[in-house]
Amino acid sequence: MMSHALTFAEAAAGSAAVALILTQLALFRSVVIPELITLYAVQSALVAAICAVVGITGHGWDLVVLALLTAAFKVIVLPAYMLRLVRGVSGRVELPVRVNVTLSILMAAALTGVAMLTASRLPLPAGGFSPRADLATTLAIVFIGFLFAILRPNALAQVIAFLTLENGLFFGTVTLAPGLPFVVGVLLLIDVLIAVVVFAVLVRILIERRATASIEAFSELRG
Amino acid sequence: MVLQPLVVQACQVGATLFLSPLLTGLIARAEALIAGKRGPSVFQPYRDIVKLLRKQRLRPDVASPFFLVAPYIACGCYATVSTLIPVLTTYPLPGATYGDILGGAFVLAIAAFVTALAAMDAGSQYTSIGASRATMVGILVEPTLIFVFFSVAFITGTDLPYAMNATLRHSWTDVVRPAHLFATAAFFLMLLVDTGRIPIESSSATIEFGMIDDARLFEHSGPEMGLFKWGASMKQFVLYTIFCNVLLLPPGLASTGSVAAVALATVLLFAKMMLVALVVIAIDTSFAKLRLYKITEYIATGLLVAVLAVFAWTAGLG
Repeated sequence: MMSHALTFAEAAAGSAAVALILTQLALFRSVVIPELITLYAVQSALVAAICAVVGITGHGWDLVVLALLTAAFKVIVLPAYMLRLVRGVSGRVELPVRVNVTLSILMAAALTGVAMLTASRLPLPAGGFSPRADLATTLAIVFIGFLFAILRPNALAQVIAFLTLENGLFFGTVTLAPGLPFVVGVLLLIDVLIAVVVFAVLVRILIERRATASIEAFSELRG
Repeated sequence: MVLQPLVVQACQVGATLFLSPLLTGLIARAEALIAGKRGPSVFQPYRDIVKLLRKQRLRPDVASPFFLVAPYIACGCYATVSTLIPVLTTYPLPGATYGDILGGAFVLAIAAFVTALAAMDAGSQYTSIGASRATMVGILVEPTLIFVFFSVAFITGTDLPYAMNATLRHSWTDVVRPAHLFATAAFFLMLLVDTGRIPIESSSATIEFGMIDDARLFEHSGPEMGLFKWGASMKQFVLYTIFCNVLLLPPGLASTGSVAAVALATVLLFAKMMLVALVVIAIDTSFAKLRLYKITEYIATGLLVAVLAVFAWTAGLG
């Protein structure tokens, strides 16, 4: 296991994987929406960078184009739009916290452990540890994203949870199946756009009617 | 001219003793420049220390002689640690194998212990609060550091700092293994705690309620205060050295004892440290200080990151 020398792309993917998981864990630290959006932008930048590295080191230039699109879209346009959206909400939006930070990070770390163990048990083709590490990262980010959505009952926080989840899937797609058709990658991006538009509408309605984005307000709709 | 190993070892201790205030000065200067200010000269810490060393020696009535001895022990501890870690050379120097990296951590713990003891000896509430806070933080940080060192030892197969450096230097890909990166990230979080940087403590010399490390020194003055300030610089230097040379940036050390190689290694060490310092300064300028009772959350996060390193390793993900 240790004798396998890494290629540059593998090393970059491994480092990016660690940074991705750390940014995902950092989500729990914040109780203010703009910080979450900044974290999302940082995470997207990491994903775009790894996409570019994979593209440049031999899997075709379409990945580089995809990386540029990702960078423009998920690092600049979307975060800027979301920050503006949040500024529209009166003053500072503070997130409700269901479970304290330490415990939620503990849960996230446990989920990361589960993701790593799962990835190590799956019957993947042999050859280095990189596919396993990438799969583990993808799973970990998806798990932590779901956990975050559960622990923060706020529509905006849940948008961001969904978006980071998509970041994880995108990372997995690029590192595990770099030969995917260009259209699929772009479709993933458009998927995010639709989600954001839907959530933006939802948030606007929430703000207009209740002056809050907390989903606790929905409790009276239960049947 | 090739220096004897013993002389090189003396150079390592000398570098820790006499160049550590320069590192503090460089960081302060860089911080000021980034904040758009001119900032003090990089030699300001030397001037501060010399000024304090020339002053009169004072001791509170209730304090025992230990109050005055403590800073000398603390500084001695920091200088001792520098003999155990690769500051300038790739090859172990005389005395380098008397203790592994945990031995170094224990020597640092002695320094923290005597400082806390002297603070309580002073008989002031403020220094006692500082001592109890610093001890609380220390108690939480230590297990994390031990976990980090054990996981790095697990990965590199040794817990001697020189051997860790050699392993990482020979295959740079070991440095970017997920397990190693998690451990390094955890150490970095603890580095911010131990050097008193922003999420834990504001490093500027203001006096405030939330002080931890500096609150211990309120009763000290004159030469002893100077020594404590010097000791803080040395501790920072030692921890930065461990972070750069043992964990993240192993290349750039002297492989022979020639004067040119040792001098080059010193310059490169400063370059590496300044890279780390830039990240620290970026964090310093962009984050707010944590409330005192939130520090445990921060340290718990560090511990969990270290746990992830072991997870990643045992799951066979490198």
